Amino acid sequence: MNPILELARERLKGKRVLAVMSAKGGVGKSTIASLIALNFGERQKTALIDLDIYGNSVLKLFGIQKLHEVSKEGIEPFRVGNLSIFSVGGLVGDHYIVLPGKEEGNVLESLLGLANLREETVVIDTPPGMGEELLTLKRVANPEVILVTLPSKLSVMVVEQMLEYLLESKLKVEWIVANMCYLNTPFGPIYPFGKPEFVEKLGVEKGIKVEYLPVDPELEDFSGRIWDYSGLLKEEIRKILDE
Amino acid sequence: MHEWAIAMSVVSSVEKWSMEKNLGVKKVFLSIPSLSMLEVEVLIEAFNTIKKESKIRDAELEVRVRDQNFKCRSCGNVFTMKDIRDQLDPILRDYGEENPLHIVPSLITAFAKCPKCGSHDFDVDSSIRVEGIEV
Ligand SMILES: Nc1ncnc2c1ncn2[C@@H]1O[C@H](COP(=O)(O)OP(=O)(O)OP(=O)(O)O)[C@@H](O)[C@H]1O
Ligand SMILES: [Mg+2]
Ligand SMILES: [Zn+2]
Repeated sequence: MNPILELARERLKGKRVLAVMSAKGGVGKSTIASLIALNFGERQKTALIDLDIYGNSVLKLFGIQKLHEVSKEGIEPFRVGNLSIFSVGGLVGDHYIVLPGKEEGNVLESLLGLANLREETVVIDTPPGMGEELLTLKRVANPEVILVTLPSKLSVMVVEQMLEYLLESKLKVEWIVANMCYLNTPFGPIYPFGKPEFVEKLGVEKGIKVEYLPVDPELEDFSGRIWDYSGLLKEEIRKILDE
Repeated sequence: MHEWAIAMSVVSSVEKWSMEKNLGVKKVFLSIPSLSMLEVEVLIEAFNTIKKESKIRDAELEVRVRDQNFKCRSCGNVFTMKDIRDQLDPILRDYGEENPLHIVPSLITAFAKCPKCGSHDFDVDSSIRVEGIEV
C-alpha cells in the first residue's frame, strides 16, 4: 500500500484537472499552462502545478526563487494573486536534479500527494515527451488534456503519436493548441510555419477542436513576471476558455 | 512537520482498505526510509490524533525505519547511508530541517554520488509504504 499515492488521489478527487502536454519540446506548454492558470485566477482560486522536474519553467516564468514552506498539511504553495503554485524546483532551489527513471514517479507522486492543494481548479504543466509524468498523472487523476504543438509538419507528426496514446487510454483531449501560428503585422498576418494545414487536418480526423494561437514578440519582456502580462496571447487564451 | 500529512495519508488509506474489506484494524506496519529523516514519534503522535476522527480508532502504528542499501548502476558498488554521511551533512546545513530529502527522499541521487566512482546513477529504495496490517 502506497499512502502517498492514495493521498495524491484524494487531493485531486472531484477537481477539474487540466494538463498541458506535448510530445514535442519548446512548443509553449509552460507559457500556455501559466496563462491558462492566470486567466482562471482572475475569477477563482486556481492551482498551478509544475511537473517538469528538470526544467521548472513555471518558477522561472513567475520569477520565483524561494523555497516552499512546509506545514503540517504538507507543501505550502507560492501564492501569486489567486494562484497557488507548486514545483519540485521549490523544494531544491537552484540545485540540479538528476534521477534514475524509476525514481521520477516517486518524486512526482510526492509532490502531488504532499502539496497542500485547496483549489478546485488545477492546471498542470508537464515536460515534453511521454515519460513518467504522463503515467503518474494517469495514476492519480483523470486529467483533461490540452495538447500543444507548433503548426509545423514535424511537430504535428510527433504530437499525433501522443494523441493516439491519449485517446487509446481514454483521456479526454480538450483541445489541440497550435501555438505560434501567426504573427500580426501592419501588412496582415505572417505564418512563420506556413498555413497550419497539418494540425487542422489532424483535428478534423480525430474530431478534436483546434485552437490557433499567435506569436507575441512582447511576451519575452514578461519572462519572470508573467502575471503582469495582459497581451495578445493571454487574450486569445481567455477567448478559448470562455467558449 | 509534514509527518502529519503522511500520517493522514496512512490513516485514510488504511481506513479505506478496512472499509472495503469490512475488517477492523489493530495494527498498521509502516516502513519509511531512514533517508527521509522522518520523526517516528511525530508520525505516531499524528497518527494517534488523526485516527480518532476515522473508522480505525483502535489501530496502533508501528514504524520501521529502513536503512538504505544503495547500489551503483554504473560500477556495482553497494553502499549505505554511513558511506555518504559526509555528502548529506551539507544538505542539512544548506536547507535546514525542511530539506529536500526529508520531503522527497527519492531526490537523493540529485545530491549524493557513489563513493567509489562518483556516479549519481544508483538504485534507491525510497518509498514510504504500509507493509502490513493486523486485523
Ligand atoms: N505564442 C508565443 N509567442 C511568443 N513566444 C512564445 C509563444 N509561446 C511560447 N513562446 C516562447 O517560446 C519559448 C518556449 O516556450 P515554453 O518554455 O513555454 O515551451 P515548453 O513547451 O514549455 O518548453 P519545454 O518543452 O522545454 O518545457 C519561451 O521562450 C516562450 O516565451
Ligand atoms: Mg515547459
Ligand atoms: Zn559507482
